[in-house]
Amino acid sequence: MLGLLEKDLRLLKGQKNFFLIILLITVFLSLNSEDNFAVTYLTFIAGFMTISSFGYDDNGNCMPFLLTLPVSRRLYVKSKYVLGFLLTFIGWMAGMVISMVTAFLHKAPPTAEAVLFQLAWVFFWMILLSFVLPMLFRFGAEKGRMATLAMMLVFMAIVFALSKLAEEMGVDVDACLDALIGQRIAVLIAGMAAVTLIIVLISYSISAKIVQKKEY
Amino acid sequence: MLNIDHVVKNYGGFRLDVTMEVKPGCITGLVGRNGAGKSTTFKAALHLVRPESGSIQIFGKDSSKLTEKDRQELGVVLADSGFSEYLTVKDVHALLRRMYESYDEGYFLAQCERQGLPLNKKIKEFSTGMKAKLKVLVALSHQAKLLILDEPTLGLDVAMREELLDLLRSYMEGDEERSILISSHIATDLESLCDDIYLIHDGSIVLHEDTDVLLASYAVLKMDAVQYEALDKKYVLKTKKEAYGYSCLTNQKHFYLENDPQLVIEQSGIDDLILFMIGGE
Repeated sequence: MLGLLEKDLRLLKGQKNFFLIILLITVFLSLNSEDNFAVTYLTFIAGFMTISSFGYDDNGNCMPFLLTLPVSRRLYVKSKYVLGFLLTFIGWMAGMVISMVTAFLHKAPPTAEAVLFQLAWVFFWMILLSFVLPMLFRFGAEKGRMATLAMMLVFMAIVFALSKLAEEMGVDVDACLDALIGQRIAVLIAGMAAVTLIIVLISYSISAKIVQKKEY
Repeated sequence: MLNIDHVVKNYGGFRLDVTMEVKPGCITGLVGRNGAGKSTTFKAALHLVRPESGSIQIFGKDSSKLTEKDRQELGVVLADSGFSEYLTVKDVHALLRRMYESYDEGYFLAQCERQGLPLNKKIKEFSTGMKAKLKVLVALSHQAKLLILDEPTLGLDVAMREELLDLLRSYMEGDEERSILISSHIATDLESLCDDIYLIHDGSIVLHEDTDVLLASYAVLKMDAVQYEALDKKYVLKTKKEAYGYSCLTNQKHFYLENDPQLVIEQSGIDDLILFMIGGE
């Protein structure tokens, strides 16, 4: 599996100038704001890099050859999940470092709400990838990219609809969030991690089935 | 080494139904025109497409059950697939070192230098010939027991093709158990290389013969209509109507040399064979 991961990282290395520019823009914009921009943006970019890695495998029809290497189809699937989560985590960490530095420079420690959002964001992306990866395996990179954007819109629509519904039903969302934040942070993280893990495992088993059945 | 037994695969109107074998220590050729089913046979052998019936065994195991360790012993060239062209040869070298336990980096790098493949250039900037050479060097780089090479000489000029075939001959000298399955639509490539040759047409094997026998016993007989009427057709495999009369393919050249010395008897190459087997009556 390390070979497959190395292949993806070597291919993504070709875009290093693009990533450097993104990083500089993020730092620059973060210095002038106090919100979660760096975490949100860099995690998003890192997540999208996973989709790019599928593009490299699709371009030039590399898949048949890759499956003749000493790797099983299952291992290929596993390598993409590891890559996706690794990149998401690295993007998120880079964003966290930038936002901590800017918070320090602005002498404005982040609020509990902001920290919770930043933590939730990395789990959100892992869940999003769990929805997207099976589609990438099934339909390829190009359609998968569209699916990711569509999925994000659907997520946003669901959140919006739920908040509207809560409003209609007279539920105080802010109070609920405050109550959540009031919980012990370790419990919250454990809860989010557990939900994410279950979704990831289901997603992996679906992807593995798709790739096992697929003809190349 | 590789055993394909009544493997059937249907694609729309196309039906592949193939039985063939690659023995240890042998180079087996698969020839046929474009679209005859060569690539599908290779993909079925490598479990990239799933046959509807039949069985495929590699190293005595069902090809769908090959472990990662078994795959270490395979070297593959596919006509339309390879490492991403955004990688450099240096990247490919690093990946092979990571993936294959028996990767011979000295051999790979020395051959790349000998064949004029620059290490730091992206593969997409290579010429067709350079890409083809790299694919073959990748397959040869890790002491594989079985090479499965689909059209490895595609797009190469005569000199380059000969260089590649020499690389394959040297590989075979390395271990007497090694085997190669190789396809080409340029049959003359394979005449000097293969121990035996399968001819595939419309998804079926129409001929299997040792190359020595093909070259020694097969011939094209040319004659006018009168000679054709009188001809003993016992050893005629196929006949074609020509402007001057008839041409016939035989697998018993010596019979006609002895019994019909007045006939024009031409040594047939594999290209003649293909034309006859898929065109004659």
